[in-house]
Amino acid sequence: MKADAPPVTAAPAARRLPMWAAWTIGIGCVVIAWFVALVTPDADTAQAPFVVSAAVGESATGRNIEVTVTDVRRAEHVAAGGWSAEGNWVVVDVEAASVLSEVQLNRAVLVVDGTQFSASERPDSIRQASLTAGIPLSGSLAFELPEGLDAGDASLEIALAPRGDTRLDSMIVLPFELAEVAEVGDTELLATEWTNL
Amino acid sequence: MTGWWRSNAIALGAIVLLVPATYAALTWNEWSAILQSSDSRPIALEPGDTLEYAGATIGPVTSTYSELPSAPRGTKIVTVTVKIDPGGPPIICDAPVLHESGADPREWKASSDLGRDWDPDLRTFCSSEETGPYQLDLDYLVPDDASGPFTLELGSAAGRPEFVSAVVDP
Repeated sequence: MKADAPPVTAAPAARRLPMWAAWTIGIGCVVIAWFVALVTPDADTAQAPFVVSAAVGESATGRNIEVTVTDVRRAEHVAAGGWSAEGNWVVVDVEAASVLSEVQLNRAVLVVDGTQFSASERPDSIRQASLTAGIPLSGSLAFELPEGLDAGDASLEIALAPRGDTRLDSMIVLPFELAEVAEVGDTELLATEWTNL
Repeated sequence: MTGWWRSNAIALGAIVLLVPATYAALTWNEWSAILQSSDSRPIALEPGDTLEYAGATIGPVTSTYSELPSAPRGTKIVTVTVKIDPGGPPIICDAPVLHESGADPREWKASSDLGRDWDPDLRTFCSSEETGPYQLDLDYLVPDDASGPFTLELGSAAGRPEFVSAVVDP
């Protein structure tokens, strides 16, 4: 005769989420994922330069660049040293220094109604000058615009842009209205030299 | 501990171990090559001392404040002298950089346009030919508000990832 089998005890019932709670959590996760996807910036926005707004006569300081725009003027005749040229020019005088380390000023662009004009390579200017930490350098930037372009929303963009890369670094931006810039006829670019020489 | 936590204890323990281990492995994998190929390990060189670096003897390093005619107002010049004895093949080094100490350190490269009289024997960079002892004489233009002590950092491809970090206190 077999011994009596031990009494079978019922396993404790597994604790499960109620159906309505599981559905609520699932739908909530989908909504959160949709919201995260909605607010996630695209690559260009996520890596855009950090804009530092500037005004004429006021110092604007970024991560490793400090710029003061001291004058903006338009001229038909510009000269720099022994060089001179006629045209539709916008000349910008600046004082610039780096903040942390010696770097080159690689980006100086004037944007007029969305069209970019790089600082001219023709005259000697502060374009691509080496900036020293804490010691300002004075000089000018000259932008040669097409004939007849004398109005529009303009912004001056100055950045270090190593190897042309402006991403995720400071960019000094001076917005202005091109039609409101003073016309001076003839002008001369500042020599690129220490501000406090 | 509830039944769910107890029944998934092994998996939870694995997550606790594997997540930080994965983070550490990825970080090491990304950074190790960069750190090995850059100046990432300073060798301190105190004033008056010398040390062996990249097969050469570096030091002593001395410094003083100088006055030169082309320096702008509001600045000062830290002139640093570095004695180098290749002791064999020439040492090729990067341009030495002067660093400011402190919470927000700045750095400067040597200037060669401050109006110092031309001297054919003056060296401002490591010689790729010299096998005997010589010295570098470096002028650093710094703003008046730059306060020492400074460090002079000198690196060489042959010595990476180590570099010489010499205390400069003019």
